[in-house]
Amino acid sequence: MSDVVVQFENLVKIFSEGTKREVRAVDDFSLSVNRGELVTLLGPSGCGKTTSLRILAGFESATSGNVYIDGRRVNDIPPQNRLTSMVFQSYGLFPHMTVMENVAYGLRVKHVHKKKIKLQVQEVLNLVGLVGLDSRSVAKLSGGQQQRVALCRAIITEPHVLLFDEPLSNLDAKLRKGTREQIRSLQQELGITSVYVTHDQAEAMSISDWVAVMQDGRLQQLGSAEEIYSQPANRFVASFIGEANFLTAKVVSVAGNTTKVAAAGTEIFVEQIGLSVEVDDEVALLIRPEAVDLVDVEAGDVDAEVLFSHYTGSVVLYALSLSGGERLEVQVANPQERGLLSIGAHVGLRLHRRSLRLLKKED
Amino acid sequence: MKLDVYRRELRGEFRRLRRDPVLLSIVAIVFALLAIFIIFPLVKVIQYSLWANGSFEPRYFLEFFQKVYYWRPLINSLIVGALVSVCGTTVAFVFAYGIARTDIPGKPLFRLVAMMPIVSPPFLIALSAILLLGNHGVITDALNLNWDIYGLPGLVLTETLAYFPIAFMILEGVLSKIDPSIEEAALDMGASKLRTFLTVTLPLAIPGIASAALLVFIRSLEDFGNPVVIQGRFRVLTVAAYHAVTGRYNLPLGSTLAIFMLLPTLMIFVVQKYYIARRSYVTVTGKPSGIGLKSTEKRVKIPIFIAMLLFGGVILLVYGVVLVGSFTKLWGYDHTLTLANYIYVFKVGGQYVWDTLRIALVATPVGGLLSILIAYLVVRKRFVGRGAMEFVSMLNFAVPGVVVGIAYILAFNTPPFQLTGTVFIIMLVFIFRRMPVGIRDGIAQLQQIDPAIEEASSSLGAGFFRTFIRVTLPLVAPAFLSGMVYMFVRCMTAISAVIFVVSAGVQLLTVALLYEVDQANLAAAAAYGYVIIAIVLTAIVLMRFVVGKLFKGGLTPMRGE
Repeated sequence: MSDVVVQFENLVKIFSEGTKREVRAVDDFSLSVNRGELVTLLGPSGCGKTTSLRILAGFESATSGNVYIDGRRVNDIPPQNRLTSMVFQSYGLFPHMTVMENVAYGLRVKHVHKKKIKLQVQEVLNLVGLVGLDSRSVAKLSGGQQQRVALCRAIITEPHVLLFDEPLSNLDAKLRKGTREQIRSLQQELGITSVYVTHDQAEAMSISDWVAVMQDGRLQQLGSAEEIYSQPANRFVASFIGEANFLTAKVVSVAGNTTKVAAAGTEIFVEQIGLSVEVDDEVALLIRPEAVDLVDVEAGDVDAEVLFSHYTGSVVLYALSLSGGERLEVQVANPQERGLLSIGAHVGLRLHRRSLRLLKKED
Repeated sequence: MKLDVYRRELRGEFRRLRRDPVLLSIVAIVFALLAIFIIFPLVKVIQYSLWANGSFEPRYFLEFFQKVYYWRPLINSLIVGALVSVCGTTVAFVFAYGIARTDIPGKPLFRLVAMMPIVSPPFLIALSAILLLGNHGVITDALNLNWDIYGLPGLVLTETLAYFPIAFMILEGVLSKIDPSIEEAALDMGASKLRTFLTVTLPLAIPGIASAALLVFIRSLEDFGNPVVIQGRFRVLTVAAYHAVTGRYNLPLGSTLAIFMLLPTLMIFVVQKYYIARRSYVTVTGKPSGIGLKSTEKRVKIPIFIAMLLFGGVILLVYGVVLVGSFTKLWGYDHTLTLANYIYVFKVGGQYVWDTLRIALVATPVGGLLSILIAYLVVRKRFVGRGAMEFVSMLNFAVPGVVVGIAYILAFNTPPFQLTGTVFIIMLVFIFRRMPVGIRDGIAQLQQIDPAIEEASSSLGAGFFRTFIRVTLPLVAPAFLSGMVYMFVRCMTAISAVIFVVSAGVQLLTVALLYEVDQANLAAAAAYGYVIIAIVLTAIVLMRFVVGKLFKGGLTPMRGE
């Protein structure tokens, strides 16, 4: 049986601006995080991910619903009495203190013995490769160093839950990747249960045990990185995680795991999982840009015409017009091998059958 | 539905407060202090004016409108206020334009001169006016004039000099913050410099000018020190109220007059805060403000320079003559130099110096801390009644000192809060009357600091006090220290409120100064004035030094992008 450390239960947060306007920032959000796992709340800005995190930390109060840490309801417990530590987007370092003082702060609050504090601070600074900087003012550090000080400061108190609020968004792309790996390996090494908020899907997918995709304050899907990409629960998740084409389709026949749909003027076989459909249902057919091979017209399942191409070196992106008039974006890796297609060229498409998914139609 | 949400939020806030007993008790204590020392005294004023004998009896309210003796001072106050407002703002605009928008030489000097009336007791200027232009003033005697400086001309002259610095500070800020690209756009489209000034610069500055004018108006309306010295037979409301209370011991009348003083100032305060402030075009951005267009043409800057020289000269003359006066035997008759006045001040007034310092040194840190604490609660904490806390704590901004003084003797003369005759009531007057400035600056500074820094502290387990003392206070130290300097200066120079609550046992330097003026002992009064100025300047220099030491590296709060 898994051991739940953090639990959101039907969480609702309504921000009211005066009496005129109110915003449902979080709407009936439920989620559990098991011990030692890292769960990412992923979504576009305004999806309620940061608000949920801040409610967990105690900086915001829930309008309704409950938050549990270690099975204890913490709704009314002030942040300083919760066993959580946050790594902030803006780092939130104390600018009037040195690296040492910043990292030691949480231990001083707990009245840990001075000698012990010094040892522990050295230890965590070693862990992130910040040796010899302890008497430096934090204002004189680089962004990446500041981020690591913030991380040290948060983990030194051995919190039951470590919270990350977009910790990498102020770093440049290269630094981001390194720090991301460092956070993940540290988290796994120490086995700290963590909740991580980001809007960057690549970051979320690479760092997490589980990704919780959110939109409009609601949980859209919870799954592993592979699940949310290959088996998105709905059109939002499919288009937020990676690129997605949707074709309108109609179910022709259902036989075991294989479903035949009519789309783009032809019949396509889909090995769909998760969505139960009946014959004649209108559905959306999800085709990832990389799940298509471009072949000669005669060899393809579907005919298409090139509308324009976007060459980026390692891949080329084609916008195609299908015979039924629908648009499809296709990505071809290593275009040097085959040569570029010119605008107006006719091609055939061969769909990767096992990568296709059927989703509810929506709209 | 919406009400329901609101109610649930309120319940949530109550629950959280209960779970955070430290915050709860701090909020409760602050509310109690505000209720006792701001609301309660003002309620007492209303009670005394309308329910003097226990039953509703607005006798003096009715008489106020019937007897010219009562309403005339209000009219006079308004006349003086209007004239001072116009004169003071005009002078201030010339100074501000000269410093912010021209390349005249000697700017630091002009700025220093313009600041002098702020660091001295305001009514020192009235004293100086008498030394210069009084019946035996040097100018009067030298030119053998036969005029009367007492009355309207004296009031307008002294209060203009005393209060133009406030307008100057506002206008300098406004003029230097107008985005130069807007003016450059006008020039670019072919407008002349004059046209640009009249159609772009001036309209953009209008809300700032209006603010400055209203502030000067309020200051003139509530001024007590200058009128009590120089009003002559042109009676103004503050002095009338003072005489009603201390001369005739008629508290209901004094309260009624206080209310008629309070009405216009409150009205202006509201107009300024909710109407003009919202019309301000000057946006303060975090970007380093560009240097506005400078007028370098001689035909613009020479008249401005001359006007500034003249006016600066008047200020220097004002303070110079008091300085000389403090070293003369008997002003107007015997101008031999002597140290006798200072010897007298330290013999008779040594106790006053000590009392004043003692009170200021307690009131300053207490008031400073309380201001920052309230600013912190208002900006950072969420609790029921937060808006009310901000409003009430800023209320005394709009309450004239004389009203505060009358309110305090009404409120604290009898149990349960019997404080009259003690040093505490004087300290309390200083603290609660001057707190709004500290709170305002504290709020402004806190809003510049990333809340994540404090959240990090509480996330690491630090409670209210530790976060406030170890994190917030060091970060707002600049506002905290400058707030304390302001409060100290005011403790040393204020008179209007405290004159009601001083007693035989505790005297203040400003009150002693006024007493000497009253006794026509002008040289001794001048000596008192310079003792005050010396203490204030020492304190400012000391504070500068301390701040310079503390923040050598330049304390720059980090902000999240």
